[in-house]
Amino acid sequence: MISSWTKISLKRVGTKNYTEIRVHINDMTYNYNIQHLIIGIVQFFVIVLLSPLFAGFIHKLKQRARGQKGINIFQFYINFNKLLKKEVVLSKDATFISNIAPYIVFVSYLVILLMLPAFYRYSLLGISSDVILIAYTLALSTFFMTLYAMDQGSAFGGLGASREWFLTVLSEPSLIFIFISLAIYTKQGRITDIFYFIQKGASNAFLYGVHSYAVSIAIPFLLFISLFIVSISENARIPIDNPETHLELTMFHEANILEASGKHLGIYEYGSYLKLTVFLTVMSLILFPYMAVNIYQIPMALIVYILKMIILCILIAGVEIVNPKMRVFRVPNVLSVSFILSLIAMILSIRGF
Amino acid sequence: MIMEKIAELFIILILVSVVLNVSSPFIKFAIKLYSFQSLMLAFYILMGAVHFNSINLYGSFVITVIFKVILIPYFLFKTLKKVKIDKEIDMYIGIPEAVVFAGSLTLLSNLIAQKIVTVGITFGAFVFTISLATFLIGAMLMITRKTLFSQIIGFLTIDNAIFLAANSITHGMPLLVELGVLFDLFVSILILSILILNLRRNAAA
Amino acid sequence: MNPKYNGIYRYFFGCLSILISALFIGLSFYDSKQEFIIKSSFINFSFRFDALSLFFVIFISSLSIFISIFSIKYGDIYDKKPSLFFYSFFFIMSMIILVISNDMLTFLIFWELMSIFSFLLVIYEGSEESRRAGFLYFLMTHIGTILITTSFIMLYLKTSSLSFDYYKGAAGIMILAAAITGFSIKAGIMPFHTWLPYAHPVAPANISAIMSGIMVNMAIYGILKFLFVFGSGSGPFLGIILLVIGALSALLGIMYAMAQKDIKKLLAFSTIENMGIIFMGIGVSYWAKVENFKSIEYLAMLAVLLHVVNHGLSKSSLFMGSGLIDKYTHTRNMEKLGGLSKKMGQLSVLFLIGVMSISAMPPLNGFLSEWYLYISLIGSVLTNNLYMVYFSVIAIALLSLTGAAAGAAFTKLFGITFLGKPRTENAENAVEPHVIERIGIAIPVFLCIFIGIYPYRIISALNAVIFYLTGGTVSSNPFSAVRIINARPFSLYAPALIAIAFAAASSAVFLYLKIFSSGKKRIFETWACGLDEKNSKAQYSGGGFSSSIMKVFSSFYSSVSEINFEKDVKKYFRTKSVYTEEINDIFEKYIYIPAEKLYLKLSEIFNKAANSENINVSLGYLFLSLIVCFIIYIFIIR
Repeated sequence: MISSWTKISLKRVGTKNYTEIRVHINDMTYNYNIQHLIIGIVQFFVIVLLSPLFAGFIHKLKQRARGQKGINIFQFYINFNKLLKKEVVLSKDATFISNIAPYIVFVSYLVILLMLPAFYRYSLLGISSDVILIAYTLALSTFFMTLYAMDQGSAFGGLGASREWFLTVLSEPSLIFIFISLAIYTKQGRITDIFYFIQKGASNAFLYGVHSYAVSIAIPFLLFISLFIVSISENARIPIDNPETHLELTMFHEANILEASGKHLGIYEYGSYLKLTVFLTVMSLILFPYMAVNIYQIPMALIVYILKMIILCILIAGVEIVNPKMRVFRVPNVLSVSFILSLIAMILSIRGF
Repeated sequence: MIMEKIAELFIILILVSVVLNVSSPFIKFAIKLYSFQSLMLAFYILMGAVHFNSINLYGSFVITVIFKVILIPYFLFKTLKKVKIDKEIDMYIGIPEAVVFAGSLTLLSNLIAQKIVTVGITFGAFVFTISLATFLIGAMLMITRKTLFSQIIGFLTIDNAIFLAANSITHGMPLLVELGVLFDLFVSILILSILILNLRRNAAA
Repeated sequence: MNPKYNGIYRYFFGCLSILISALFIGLSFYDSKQEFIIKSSFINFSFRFDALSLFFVIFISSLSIFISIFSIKYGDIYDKKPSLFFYSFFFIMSMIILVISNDMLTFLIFWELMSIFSFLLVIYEGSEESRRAGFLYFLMTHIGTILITTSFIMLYLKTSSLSFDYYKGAAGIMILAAAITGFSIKAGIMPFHTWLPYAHPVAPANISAIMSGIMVNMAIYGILKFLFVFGSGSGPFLGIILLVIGALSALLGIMYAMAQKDIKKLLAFSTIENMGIIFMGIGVSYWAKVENFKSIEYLAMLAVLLHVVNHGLSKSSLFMGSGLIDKYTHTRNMEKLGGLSKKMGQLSVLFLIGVMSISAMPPLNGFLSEWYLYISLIGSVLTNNLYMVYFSVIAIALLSLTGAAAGAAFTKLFGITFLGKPRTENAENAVEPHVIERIGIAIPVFLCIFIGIYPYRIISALNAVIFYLTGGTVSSNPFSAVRIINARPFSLYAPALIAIAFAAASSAVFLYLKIFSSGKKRIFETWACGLDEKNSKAQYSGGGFSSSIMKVFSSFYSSVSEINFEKDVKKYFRTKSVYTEEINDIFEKYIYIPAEKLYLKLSEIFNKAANSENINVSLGYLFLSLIVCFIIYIFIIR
């Protein structure tokens, strides 16, 4: 097992002087060294620590647009810290699910972030960062969140769980489809390879003028629109859900965690920031794939990453400000559009236009 | 090369606007989407004009903007204001089903396009697929929608699709032909608007 | 018979089936290429262990060991009528012998024995419902047997031999089509599934576990044998048809599962879904075999075999769990349960893992086989084959929808049954099941976790089967990426790595919270807006849970619902209103019932024509039939 693995890496070392960039794209066996691992961990912690900031920024933008003074951008850090200090109030009908579900939900987002590249080409779990795995890990988090909602025997919890699955049944297929379209478009299955391929292809085409049918602006753009719709629905944003109210008519996501308190609520909230960051990061990489390939490009890549995230935050806040809350049974109309757009992206990328 | 890639973006936006048109039940939004779609078509023609450096295509760009982006939507809005019909469009099938149906039509048109056109003939990849899909979805809009007004949108979408296909393969028609086609379209929209107005008046009386 | 000794039957047959299953496992490990023939005066039974039957023997035997352990204790409610244990023993044995039989007569005899014993077990409880279900099952399964027999006869006419050894590569498209149709009736694939949701729930739970976990897989065995061993390797469209039918069956199966109230019926529909997924894998694999895309063929075959194992393990454990719920609460209706997790703590943990496994949640085994299926579908998209591309795209769409809907359906199953407050007294009085019953469920659940986290052992074992069927193997190296076309590494799912990441991340989070948060905890009532908290009816019901999804996909169902209320009382002062909803199968409504009506009509006409009083007409029929026989003899048989 180990011998065959090392053989692959030796072979790569042997053919290091690439004459053509295309060879470099096609031959992507994972070749881990300690540098990749360390930067992968650093990247993970940077994203995890930044994620409440993005959520806070969106919140602040929304409030300013409504003419309110707005919260501190760092408010969500303070909230998290405060929630940790509070006691946990459990329902007397609660079972073991209530004790484990918050952790599993949070950890599944963490695992996804461990696979995701943001500003460095490799991530810590990059070797196993399969796109379908990421989509199904998101489903795992939904599964436990809805079980948590139903655990206390509250009517709101059942309502939230029902609506959450209603959304997930519609948005999860589009998410899987977007990811598989990316995989087919780039002929790569791992998310790190996918974005590296897009980055290489784009730089080949637009910087060096290498003509290639495999590169296109249109298909990533289509996937971006589709993913934007999905991320609005998955992250409980306004045209579909309104997390700021506690009115049962508007609740999707919030009804699930209505019974949570103390540290459980804290990690649920933090988890929702992480989920938002996952989607924003994938969108940022589709929008403008720029990841550091070596250690010297990291500061530049980090700055570009944060800029892209800020642009996307403004975009999401804009959508939230402009639109009113949608009726529940009008949601399938929007989500079916995202599904069909990703389907179109897939069939257009098949021929390798 | 880059022109072609950007042109593909505009083509894709045409298809996106058609799919949004299927998904949206609002008539004003549909007219706006038509205007947007025509603008994208115009930009596609502009990209072709820059790429081939052809004066015909520049002219085509200008008249497309004038007629399709500005004049026809303007008249449609004007008629809409006069007839005061329902804001929402009635359809024979539900919206999610219609959208999924539109997606399968795109699948079918890709299959047909794959049989007909080889890669590299058209300006921009998958133009033929998109124009065929737009054509079929426009026809679907005409079939599934109940009111005359929304059927006009379907008709205009079909027209855009034919325009797109013509421009993609022939590298632009002679300007005279194009002008004639556009005038025909414009006159037909005028006639349809008058018809709608009269129908309304007769129905009210 | 002395009722005191009734338990003896249970212990005797339970232990016997464990022992004989263990014997077969030992036999299959002893020497992999055994062949033996039992000669009698009029018929020869020939048996043979090849890689495929070896795999199925081990699969059946090990699953029946778990189920037998479970039913040793669980069966005590059936002691009054001990024929259950007798039948189930022979049911298991007939299936084991079925997969090692090496000629067509042996195969058909044991196939028929399996059908008959399972029929006897379906009608075991003797209620009106079970008799109806049993009749439907008997009818459908025999239509299947007719088709299978037809295909065997055609094979016999072609090769003039009874032995399977001569059938290699002999079956053409017609034979394959007949056999696949026959077997898919047994597997419960969508147009032929009607018997399955009736027959599985009415049987006792251990029998449902055997039927759903093992028996439907016999159809998969038959199809694999026909397509990959007997098949002449022609007709790529056959693979595409299997793919499309499988995908539709998966989606509709899970959509109907979501609509059910009865736990066992939900699980039965989920069996249809999983059979659909297996059919998709078979379709892709066969198509790739014909079109010569080797690596896709191997990957899809791995997906099929893994899914057979995974589905068998998780589905049998879930059926056993549902049997325990039935035993200790006397109801299978979800709307009457709830809050069982407090009373049946350990069972609920086992059930949760089974549910996660079957709805393909990542670190567990269900996801593994679905992942391989996704990869092979992506591979067949990347081959740029003109038609298969589009069908695989559609299949990916339906499979992803199925995956999400499975999550919803099983959240409903677990959430409504085990969580919340007990809805009736039955649920309130539940107790933790006996330890032997829990052990019977715990073994397959443990295997689910093991295969999910460390699948390399079983993949390298399955490679022997894959090699036998397709002539190639899949890499079982944890760190070698999957290659689909151009021998380029495409992707990798390293479950062990993901599981370690999960464990490490959760312990890190746990430690962080342990240090930085207050450990205070308070138990209090659930907040219900200050209203009556005691009322358990205020919870969401199972029907309410799935209604919004069902509304979106309403074209899949034909449902009849009605609300009864006191009409003369004003809206807010009614004391009660009754809502009833009936979800009907669209196939049943639009195909089966019209077909039944047509059949009755035709038979009435024939009845009138045949039973005429006139003797001349009767003589005429006789004469006519003679002539028809002559014509058949002259033109067809000669």
